[in-house]
Amino acid sequence: MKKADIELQFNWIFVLIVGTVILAFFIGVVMKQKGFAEQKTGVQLSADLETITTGAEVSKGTAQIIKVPQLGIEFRSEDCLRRYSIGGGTKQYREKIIFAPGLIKGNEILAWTMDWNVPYRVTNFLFLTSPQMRYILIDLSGANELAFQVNKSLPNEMYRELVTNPNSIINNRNYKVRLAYFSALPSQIVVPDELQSVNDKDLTAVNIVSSTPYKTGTLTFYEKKGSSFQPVGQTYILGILSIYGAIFTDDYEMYNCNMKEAFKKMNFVTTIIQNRTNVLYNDVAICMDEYYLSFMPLQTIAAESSILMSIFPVSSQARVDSLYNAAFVELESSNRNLQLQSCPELY
Amino acid sequence: MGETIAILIIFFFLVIFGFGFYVRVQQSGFQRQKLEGTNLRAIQVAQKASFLPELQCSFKNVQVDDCIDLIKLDAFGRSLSNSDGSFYQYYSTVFGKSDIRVQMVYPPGPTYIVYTTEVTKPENNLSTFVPVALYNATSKSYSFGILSVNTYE
Amino acid sequence: MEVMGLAIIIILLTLGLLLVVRFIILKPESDIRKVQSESQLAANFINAMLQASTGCNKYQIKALLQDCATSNAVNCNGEDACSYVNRTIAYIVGRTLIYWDKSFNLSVSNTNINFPPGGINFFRGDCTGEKEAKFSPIQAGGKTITVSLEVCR
Repeated sequence: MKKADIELQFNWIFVLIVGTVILAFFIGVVMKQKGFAEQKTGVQLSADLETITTGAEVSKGTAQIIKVPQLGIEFRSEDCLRRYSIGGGTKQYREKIIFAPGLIKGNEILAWTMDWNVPYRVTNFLFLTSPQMRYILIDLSGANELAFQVNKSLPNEMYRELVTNPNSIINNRNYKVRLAYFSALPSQIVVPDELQSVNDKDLTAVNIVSSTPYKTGTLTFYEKKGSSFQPVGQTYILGILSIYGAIFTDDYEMYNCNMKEAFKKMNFVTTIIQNRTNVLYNDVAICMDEYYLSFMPLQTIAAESSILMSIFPVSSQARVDSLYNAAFVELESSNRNLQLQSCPELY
Repeated sequence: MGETIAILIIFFFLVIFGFGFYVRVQQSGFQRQKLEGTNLRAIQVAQKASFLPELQCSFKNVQVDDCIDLIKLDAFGRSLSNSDGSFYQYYSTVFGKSDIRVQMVYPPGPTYIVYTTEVTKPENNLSTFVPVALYNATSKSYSFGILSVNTYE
Repeated sequence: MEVMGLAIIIILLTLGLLLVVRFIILKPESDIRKVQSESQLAANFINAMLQASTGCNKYQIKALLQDCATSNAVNCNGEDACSYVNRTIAYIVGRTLIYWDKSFNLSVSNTNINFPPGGINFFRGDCTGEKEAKFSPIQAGGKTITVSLEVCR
């Protein structure tokens, strides 16, 4: 063979090898950069969500749609260590109270903030969900006032509907569906026919039992197992916002952990209110009788909240009822009397 | 052949140079993001302090923005230092490494420490000043105050 | 031929580098904390200042301004409302905006009359560029007083 032929072949082999090396190098760099960029976006979004949740927290009574990349946001609670994950980033949140489903999908988040008053403002509850997640409020009697009120109060941007017959529900192929039954019997909590094909983890239910004025009651969380709903656990309501919370969050542990955090905050705020009442009792002599009457309910709220923040919902029914009575009956009455007497109010 | 190798050398030199430049640009981007993150955190802490129900004035259970109740403020400060530590631990997760004070400017008055952390070598100290009305429930009068929030890294 | 190709590549790379330097490295930094802080400062300052109770029979600054704009009948230990409130606002401004080295323009004016002669004005620094402003109208006996604060960057 001539030297030229050998050289030509060698040239081609050389080109092949070098070409492959260069291609492999650049493909490697691109893949690594892609993963890196996704992680960076996840971490950035995680930080942005922190800012958004803080901003939303302080602006109560607002509902807003926030545009986000389509990475999906997961909310989890393990032993009440609550965290959210986006892309590669996970962030733990401690003092915030966020009711959200386990997964928020899509490029939009609905953020709704309301202030939790028991009876004074304790904290803001932040409700997050995806406009693509479907909420179905089921009022079997057709005359449940709470169902009507909840349906009216929930943000318009939320994909929700109020029905009386579960079998009238059509499967719209939403990525998640949450059913909220109002005062239904356990035997009435059924998986609607059209939703039988939905994955077990994507269909959950809650049964809300509460009577006027909807400040206390019970909640039973259900998860789908095959063709029926199985109860996960029972917990309690304190204030209508906790009802919204049970609708927004599809996880029993997440609901309870959020409420524990809320009771912890209640305990701290009550300590401040107690100290303030003490000062007013000593300084505003003409009103001291009414301030004296408020010491007991404040002490009850402080005591019950300090226990509930650890044990909720175990053995909590009586404590929640006692707290409700102290807050919404006794303390509200004291505050009203102080207003009528033109005395500095408790809250 | 020689030319091919020479071209390849120059090519790889350009690639390495470009890569090095890209890393420098990324680093500068990270520094910028870090500073932005620090600024955001400072805003968050200032907002949280301004809207804390433990400090905010309220009348007929309606919160008043940009108003701090002096009795609550005093009680808050005392609770942070007096309690078993759980109060302070809770608020350290809210405020992190920061120093929050309320100074009564007019009529001249004391400075209340709302929250503070021991920081040996404070870095990136960012100060935010928020004018607030300070309400005294006993005398039903207001003072002009400044809520100052210093955040550290 | 290859050398020409290389030359083109180098020219393109240089152009790319120039664009990167211009749009990424030399990108002006946005200080969101400063913007947020100044916006809140302007709004809160006026609200808090107007509510503050003074040493003049515990009248609020707002009430003294209203009296100044109408009858100027209030006697503050031998001083009229206009001078007293002017002095009080000067005190507050001195311990806040001036102390923080801010450029600002604070004015209390009335569109109908020269109130008081020359109005109540405090300013510092150059306020011709970007600014955060807050205007607060106060009713006073059929007249409107405007309290405005511009915090300049």
